[in-house]
Amino acid sequence: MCLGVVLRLVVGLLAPALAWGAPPSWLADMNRAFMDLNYDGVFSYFTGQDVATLRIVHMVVDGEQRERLVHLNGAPREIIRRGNEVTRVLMPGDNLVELSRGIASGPFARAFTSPFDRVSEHYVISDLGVGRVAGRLAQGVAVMPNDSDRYGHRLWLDPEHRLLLRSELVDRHGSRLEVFQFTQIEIGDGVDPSALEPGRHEGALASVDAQSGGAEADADEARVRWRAGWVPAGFSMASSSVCYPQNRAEMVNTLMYTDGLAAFSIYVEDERHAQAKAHAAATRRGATVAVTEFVPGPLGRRAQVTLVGELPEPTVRRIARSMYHD
Amino acid sequence: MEWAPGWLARVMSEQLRESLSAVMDGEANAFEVRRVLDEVRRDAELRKVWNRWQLVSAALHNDVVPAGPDRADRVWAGLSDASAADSPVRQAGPGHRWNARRLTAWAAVSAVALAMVAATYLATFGGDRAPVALPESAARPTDLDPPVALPGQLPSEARNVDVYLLHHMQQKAAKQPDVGVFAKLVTFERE
Repeated sequence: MCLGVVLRLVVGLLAPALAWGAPPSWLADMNRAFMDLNYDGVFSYFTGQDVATLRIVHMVVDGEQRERLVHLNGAPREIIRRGNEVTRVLMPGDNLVELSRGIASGPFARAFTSPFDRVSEHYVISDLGVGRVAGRLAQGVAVMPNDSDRYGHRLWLDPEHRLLLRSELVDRHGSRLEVFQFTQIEIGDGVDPSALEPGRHEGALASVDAQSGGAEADADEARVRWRAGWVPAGFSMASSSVCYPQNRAEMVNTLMYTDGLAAFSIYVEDERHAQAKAHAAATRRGATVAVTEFVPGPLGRRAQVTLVGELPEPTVRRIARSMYHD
Repeated sequence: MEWAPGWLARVMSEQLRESLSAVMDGEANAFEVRRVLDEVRRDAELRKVWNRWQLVSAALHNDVVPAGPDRADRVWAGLSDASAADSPVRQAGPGHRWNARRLTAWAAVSAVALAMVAATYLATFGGDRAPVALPESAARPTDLDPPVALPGQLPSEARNVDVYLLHHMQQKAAKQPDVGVFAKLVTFERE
């Protein structure tokens, strides 16, 4: 009981210092903090089945974004960014790494920023109070959907620097699907520039790429004639193209939709060429779910629809079943 | 057998390791590509390394390619250019030479990829059925003689879904990045 009183007193004393204005502005501040501040931290990411542990070092040197990302479990892997130049350090034979151009086409810090402050139409933002994360006081913010077709977010921000210290992706019942959390972080002038240098890994290979930074055009957009008959309110198409997935000669129509926070991708292929069998079970990686459905296609044939996204499974199946050929 | 850092050195000479690395990095010439492919075809352990490096290379060079006028034609055109790039009488500027070298290695890797498709179809549908979606040129022998059985991996439901999961994460990372997709990509395990 005494502890409760003390905590209330402490929080009461801190309240004026934490009066930043409305929660949406905290989230805008959080996004800026990840890009503007110097920090060196270790974070873990839990997806239900797996825990990833990574170190991220971020500095702004003469206006240039410089970063280093180190995978701390399993085979040594590092990605070092200096402006638009990206160096990847891998061990030969490492078959785990999947680093796309997408992830490398902007500062890593961008991955920590989401437009939480611009999605108020389909999410409700509220104050979760003060907690403690990685040895620091943390201000909690909830970003919860106002329907059952998407997941919610619970975030904890460092009050002084407004960096994101912890985030949870939760379903409508509040169950955690994925958790991100810094376990240790140094912020500001204490960050040592030498932390940006790659580590020494005997036998590792390095490759250096210069990124153009420009978005790649979807040259084959006009060829995609598949449409979703139903998507949850607020989702719009972000891209569509015709692709050949790895090592296959048949084309697959791909479409991607986003509401600003959540996203899903649709893959449509002729049933004759489909390599997967339709099955009831969904494939999951954390909150990411993949389901397969069959729908009528052109020329009287059936098409296989595979839908992958961070949405509840009933929603994903409803979207998949609504696909039609225009 | 699990790969270990010291294992590679025991199996391959340093020179071959460099050549394999050059092939995967797109920096090998056609002669090196052929030599590496010959070595890989002879040695089962090397094939495992090759398979794993291919996965890394494919990830680094983006597995899902946009549809072009004719992807297969470009691959085989690339192989022809590879021979030209090796010619001692060929004179080209540095930029052209670099491009030709990259095309050479890319074509070699893509040739193996096409061979995978052919092998997959034959294994899946039986030897009496031709790989219908492949152009004729992909099935005929070439100067590179891609080792058809090299990768030896049959598609499975799980693996196919993995391809889509990975592609979705890559798209999301490019267009709507968040720390979750970022962590999942960096730690993605195909098997």
